[in-house]
Amino acid sequence: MPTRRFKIFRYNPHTDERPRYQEYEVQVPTGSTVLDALNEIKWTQDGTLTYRRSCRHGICGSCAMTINGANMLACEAQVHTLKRDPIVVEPLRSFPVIKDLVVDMDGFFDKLLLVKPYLIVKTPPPTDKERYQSPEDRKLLDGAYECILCGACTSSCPSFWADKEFLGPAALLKAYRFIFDTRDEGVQERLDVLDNKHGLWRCHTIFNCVEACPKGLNPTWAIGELKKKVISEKF
Amino acid sequence: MRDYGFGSGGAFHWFLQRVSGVVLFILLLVHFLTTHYFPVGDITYQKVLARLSQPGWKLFYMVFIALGLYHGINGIWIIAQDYVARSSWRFIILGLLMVAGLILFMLGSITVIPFKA
Repeated sequence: MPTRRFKIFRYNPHTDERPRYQEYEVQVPTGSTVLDALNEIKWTQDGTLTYRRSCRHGICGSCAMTINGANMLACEAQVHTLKRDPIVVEPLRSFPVIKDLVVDMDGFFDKLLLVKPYLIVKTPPPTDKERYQSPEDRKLLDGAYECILCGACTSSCPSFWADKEFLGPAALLKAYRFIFDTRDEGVQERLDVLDNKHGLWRCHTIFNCVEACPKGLNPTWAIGELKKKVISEKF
Repeated sequence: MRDYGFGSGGAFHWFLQRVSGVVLFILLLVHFLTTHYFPVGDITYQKVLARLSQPGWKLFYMVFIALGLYHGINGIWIIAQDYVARSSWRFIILGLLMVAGLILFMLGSITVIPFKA
């Protein structure tokens, strides 16, 4: 069974003066993911290693982290595809570290709430059926509703590195998902949130978010559509 | 929940940055074609003088200067907004950029407008 070395970011803000990196050697059977390796380390070598994990199937978004410099889900990152030795595992950039690989996502979710991530309707619902959405209208949301809110995109965004109050690609993609939902009646109040100095205009189409998204989504494109929407509403 | 400082947008400047970029590309193309690629004979001071003496070309270059300055200065301002959070510093930077733009526009104007054969 092959053995791989892992160099893992360790930091406890309550006890450590500064972060450090710790190396571990792990036996990795074929098909092992980075999450499998982290579990192996935690369960058999060092129980103090801290990281988030849940579903193990790339859908809960808990285990997003920086692996060999790129943001990805640990549960989807196959160890054999990672060529660098040792494999460097770090917490998501630009979020405050709570401990080791666990980051504080409060600000991330605060911004998500700001864009009102729910259907806003003012007209009463039909009494005999649900609110109608044609298949064509539904297709408009493809590539927007699949976001798992792992934070990989926002953490990879240089605009977010520079301006921590920037809404970030995840919140903006969520805004797109509802603004372009033909059943939604809250376009204007969402656009008011997006059109501000920490909103849409901080995106400079760098495309890091596209590269980082583990679900293959394209927040940069969605942000471009939102910019066009704001411009067409204003002028 | 924190207030993320909503209020001042950026839609207008974002839009104008794109419009000015497209117009500048066209103006630059015309400038290069007339000055460097299709001049009749060699470029001489007399020929440039003759061209820049015409009101149409004066207007062309004044628009060129205005849009070029707007595009460049707005670009720097957009970058500054990424990195400067304090409103006092933002105010100072915006003020300096506007003054620099005004001075450069005046320098351009006093070169282009009085130019005559």
